[in-house]
Amino acid sequence: MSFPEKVKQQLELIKKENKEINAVLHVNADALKEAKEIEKKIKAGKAGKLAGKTIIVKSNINVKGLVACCASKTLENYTSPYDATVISKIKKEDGLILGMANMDEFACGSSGETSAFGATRNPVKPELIPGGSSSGSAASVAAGFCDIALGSDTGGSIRNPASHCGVVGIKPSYGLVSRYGLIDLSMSLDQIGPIAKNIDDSLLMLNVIRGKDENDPTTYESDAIKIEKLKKITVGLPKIDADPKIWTLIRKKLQTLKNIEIKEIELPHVNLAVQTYYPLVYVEFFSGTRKFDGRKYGKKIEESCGEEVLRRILGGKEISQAEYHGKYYRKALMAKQVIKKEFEKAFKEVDLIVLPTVPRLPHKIGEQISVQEMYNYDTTTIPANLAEIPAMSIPAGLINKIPVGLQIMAPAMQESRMFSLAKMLE
Amino acid sequence: MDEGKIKQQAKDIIDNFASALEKIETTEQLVERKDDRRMENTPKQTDPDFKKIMFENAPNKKGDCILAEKGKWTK
Repeated sequence: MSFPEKVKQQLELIKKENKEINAVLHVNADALKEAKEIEKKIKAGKAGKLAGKTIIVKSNINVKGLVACCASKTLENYTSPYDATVISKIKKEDGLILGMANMDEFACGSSGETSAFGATRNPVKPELIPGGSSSGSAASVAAGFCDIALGSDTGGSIRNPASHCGVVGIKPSYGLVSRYGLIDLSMSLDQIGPIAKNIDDSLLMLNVIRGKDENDPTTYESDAIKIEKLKKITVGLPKIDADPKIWTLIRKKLQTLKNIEIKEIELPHVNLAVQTYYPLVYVEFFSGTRKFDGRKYGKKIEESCGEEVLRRILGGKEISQAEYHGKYYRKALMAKQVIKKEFEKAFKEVDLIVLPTVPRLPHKIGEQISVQEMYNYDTTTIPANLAEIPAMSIPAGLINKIPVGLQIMAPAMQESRMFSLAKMLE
Repeated sequence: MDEGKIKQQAKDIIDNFASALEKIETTEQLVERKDDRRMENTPKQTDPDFKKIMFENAPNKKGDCILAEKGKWTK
């Protein structure tokens, strides 16, 4: 099948099935034309590394000429005037951007239900949430709308929906991938990463988008990420609360490997990850959204956003006003350092850490759950963001026919080690 | 949406979280990164489409300016 034929098929699938799944908000009208240009390069043997791959992008990443609305009425009509660094890199390697994905509004959510344009459904079980906030990205991959998707992960927003949708999701080390052109949720924690059906495609994409960028001073030079043969590895299992059925599945999956030693490890303050994370996110989100004042982008955010976005803005404003006591943000920053150090210490004993991606099974769309319950979806993913380390979710199996993810965490900038174990488990 | 209720809820959440963090004993650490500074003396060519699309995004404009009445947005 030629590349334009493949693109045509995927566009038809989106047209047919997106009405129910609601994973895609905007389709690139020039996709077929661009596919024909890429096909010419493929035939001439001059195509880039991503030639032949179709990509759907979370709607908080700028793609020039496409709508990056963050699934919010605030930016409903905002057309990106430039490409984010990750998009420039993808285009340079002949990746084809097929469209923009639905998401939790401004990445504020863990279920995919807070989008102003309707909840995304889980392609595996449409009555369930797909997870969030990169709900449309993970659902697009699971539904076969594209080969690879881009998401952003601040506290688990790539790994959580990857787990619920049964696909692979990567949160890179902080600083591995440029955030330039990402409409931020929390600048000190956000990272852009790939979601794909398999490990090879996610590795391919991560190698394309990684690297130092002068537009994002937090980025580092990095070596190519490679899958290596691990002779013997020690894997740490932290004591962290999660559904026992999920833990059993994770342990069984690990037992399929012969060359690993499993150690129970202690991370004493990891149970305070949620309490550390939200004050940081509230303040940084409040700060980041001050530009949405209705002058350049259409609507003032407080007058056009949903409940969870407003909660974070008002909470962030409250913290900012009270911060002279250093009780909230500053304290949370210090707690973040404590958790980061605990991980550094743990990685002196073990090579990698494995745990459930999400501590529970996904709820039904529309089911009422409390704010605290929603925040608790991320108890097992937030620690990696606080520690600035890489983490990924790979399918571990099914419980009641619902996909469950196994999460691997590695020391900072040790993505190769993480991918190597993932490949062994795939 | 009841803004007052949401505000109170947000306040309760952060107070609850802050009290949980009080038990962590910490010392502040400052890290100053002296490398990786961007040089500003080599400006890049601006994409000609950038301004055009930015102006299309703005709701109120006049000639070469995006209009923003002073203080209006704060109300």
